[in-house]
Amino acid sequence: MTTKHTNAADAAAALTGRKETQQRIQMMADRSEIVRALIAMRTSKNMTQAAIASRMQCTQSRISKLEAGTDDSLSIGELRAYLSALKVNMSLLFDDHTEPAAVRIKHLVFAIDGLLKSLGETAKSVVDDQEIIAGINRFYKEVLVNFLIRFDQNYKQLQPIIQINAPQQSASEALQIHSRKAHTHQTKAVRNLAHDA
Amino acid sequence: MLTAWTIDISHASPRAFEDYEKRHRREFDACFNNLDKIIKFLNAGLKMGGFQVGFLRSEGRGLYRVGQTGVPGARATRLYVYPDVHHAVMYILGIGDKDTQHKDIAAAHIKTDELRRQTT
Repeated sequence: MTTKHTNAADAAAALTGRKETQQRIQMMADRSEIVRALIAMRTSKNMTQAAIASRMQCTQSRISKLEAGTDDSLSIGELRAYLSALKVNMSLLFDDHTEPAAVRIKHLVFAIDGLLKSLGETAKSVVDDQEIIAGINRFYKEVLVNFLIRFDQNYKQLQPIIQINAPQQSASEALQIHSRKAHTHQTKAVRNLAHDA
Repeated sequence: MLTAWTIDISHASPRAFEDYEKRHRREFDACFNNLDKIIKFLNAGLKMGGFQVGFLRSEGRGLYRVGQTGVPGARATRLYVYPDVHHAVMYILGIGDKDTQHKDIAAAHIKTDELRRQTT
């Protein structure tokens, strides 16, 4: 019997000798992501359960139960109230898999647009802070690189299926060209973004 | 760099866990799910004692109990663990309910004393 494990589900299954134990606990752990995120945010803000309870106008015992449960036992109302107590905004993205791809893409683009506007608002409030501006620039560069890599990968996967005509330049070539230009344009882009917001 | 925590079951009695799972499955699962949360917090860089959650309590001498809070109408269950913070190892020591807690804690303290000597 292996005595060292990297997760609780495997450890529990090794103790009971039943594979079913692992599957059950892993399923519970997978359904506890939101609860874990709430506890992590509360802890990072050095807030106690009592402080959250006070802002939510409920008992500490309720918070304790909520945090010890899974996402299934969490109501939307409680989630909203908990986040409000943390002064954290919540945004939801509904992605309907039964919608045609074009409609889903449109919704996702709107969602990205909304997030970029939110980023612009944030940038506007720190436009004089060079350190933060530099951080935003680094962030944009990282996002762009990751986006282009994924775009390139997806494009290569899609090409044999839908027989897209070859582009004039590949994503990696576009990335190299952009990298040369990006250095001089980044600060200006962030400032423009802040201004537009 | 953060060290990933491991869970060591070499000091636990598989028979006791098998029996407990058969008798109180929901509580058993909830305790291990809460242990999973703790391991994930530790892996994210939080320190033992650096986060307050209702399902984790110190029982002294390095021993902690992970509870099942959150299961309606459940039998109060405690999973006893010893976190070796120097080597990032969480030792599972035992499991029991409120009725057997004095005996369980006494038995777990003998193990934590031994582990503390070995690991510090």
